[in-house]
Amino acid sequence: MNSVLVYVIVLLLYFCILLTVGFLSQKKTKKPEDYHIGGRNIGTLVSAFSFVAAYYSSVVIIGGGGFGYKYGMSSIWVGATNVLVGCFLAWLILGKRTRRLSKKLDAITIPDLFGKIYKSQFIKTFSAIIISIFLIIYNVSILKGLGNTFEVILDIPYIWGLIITGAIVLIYVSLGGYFAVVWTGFIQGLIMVFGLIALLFVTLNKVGGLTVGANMLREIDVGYVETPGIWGLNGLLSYALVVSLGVWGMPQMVTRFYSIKSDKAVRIGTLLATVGGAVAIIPYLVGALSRVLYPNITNVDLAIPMLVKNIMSPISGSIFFSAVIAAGMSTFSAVLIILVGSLVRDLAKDSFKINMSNEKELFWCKITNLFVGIISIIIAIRPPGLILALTAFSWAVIASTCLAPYLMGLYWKGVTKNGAITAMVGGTFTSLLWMALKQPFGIHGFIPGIIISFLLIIVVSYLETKLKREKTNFLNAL
Amino acid sequence: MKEFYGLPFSTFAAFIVTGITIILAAIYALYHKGDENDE
Repeated sequence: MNSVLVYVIVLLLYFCILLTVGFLSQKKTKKPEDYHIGGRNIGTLVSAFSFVAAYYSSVVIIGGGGFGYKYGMSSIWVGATNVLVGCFLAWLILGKRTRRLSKKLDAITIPDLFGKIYKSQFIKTFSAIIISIFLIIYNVSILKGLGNTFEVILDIPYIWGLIITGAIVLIYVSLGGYFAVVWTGFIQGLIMVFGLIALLFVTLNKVGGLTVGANMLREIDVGYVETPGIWGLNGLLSYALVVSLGVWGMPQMVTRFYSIKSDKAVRIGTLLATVGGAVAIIPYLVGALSRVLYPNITNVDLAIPMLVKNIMSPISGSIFFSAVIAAGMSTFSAVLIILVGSLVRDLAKDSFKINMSNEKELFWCKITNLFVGIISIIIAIRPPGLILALTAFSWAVIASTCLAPYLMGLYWKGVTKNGAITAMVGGTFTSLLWMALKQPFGIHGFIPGIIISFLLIIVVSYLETKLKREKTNFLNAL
Repeated sequence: MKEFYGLPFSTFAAFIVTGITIILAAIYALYHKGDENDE
């Protein structure tokens, strides 16, 4: 059978499954809490795999392969850090506490949780604005990745890939809200795991095994097999931390802990998310090995698409292609539902006090979803030149804004409202300033952003509590 | 220098770390039931 026909059949089948999930989820979505967090009743397996699917976008799979090609085997440490910090420790440290606290405070979105922990409308509005702006930028980069994947692998125009995938996500998220996002995420997560494993086996077979591949890389340059090797320790460590610890402050990931149904589900989910997340190593490993087969690729992002085109059979290639598309679509839908929550619930309803019944809120969620999605698609048709630079910082800015107030709010009794406000504002502006200064010392904006944010929340909260205590003692002594 | 599947230990250790992480996650999932609060 013609290979393009196989790709088209597999893709059509995949898209039909996604739309069916959207229609089925619509019946379960009756109130805003269902639309935003699935009525806090999502099971273990679905939560774990939709977490993995939301974590690894197509940019990570294609870009990870590019990093592997460029820097060699040391890049697999990025995947290992994703598994340890981004999956296992994230579930272990954040999972149960976030579930309990969000339920106790009846918080539905991340800004909502901040507003209720710190009893501050400013914190809620500020975080909602930052999340909305920078997640739209992130959305554009995900869409761009989807369009490029269609262009490279199927040879169809960029804009068609963008419109097809974007439209399908908009339909199922509008219909089924969070239920549709997590159930499609679950299916997409499974496809990603199988697709990446298929790619790994085909590549190892073609190269002649890991030992042969590693020895051939060593002959090209020993830096391609050593750690930190060609990448260097600063670059490797800084990148691994950004894409692993950064997850802890990303609303589309944290919201999985709001919606999971029990502490037991979090416990079991920790194992499933860690095992599923272990596929993170594959793009880096395969990207590094692809240098043995194609030593002269100038655009490193083409390393994995070239492998798929040249060494995979139409069936396994179409499964891997679906996995890359699945990775992008699941992240796009996960980000979209967070954006809708921030805009409708946190900003329109709570900050600007627009009165809405439950039915009206559901209606506006669906309209806003379409509106934000279409805006993202329009921007992605001709992404501005700066968009790639801004994308790298969208994670950094959101994590610098959210991570310290979130983690401290979960664990530290001494944290104060003013400590959280200064941390949020300070973290945001530090990471933005770092970007404006073009990353001094080659350090990613995430690192200074979170360091300043944590310092501010600890120092301001401590001083505020100390001053209050001294004032009370002084007044008592009068 | 000792090699593992053609890789130096500094690189191969990434696989070991991932394996240990999965074992730790399994131990946590199977045995850490003490603090659960499923009302």
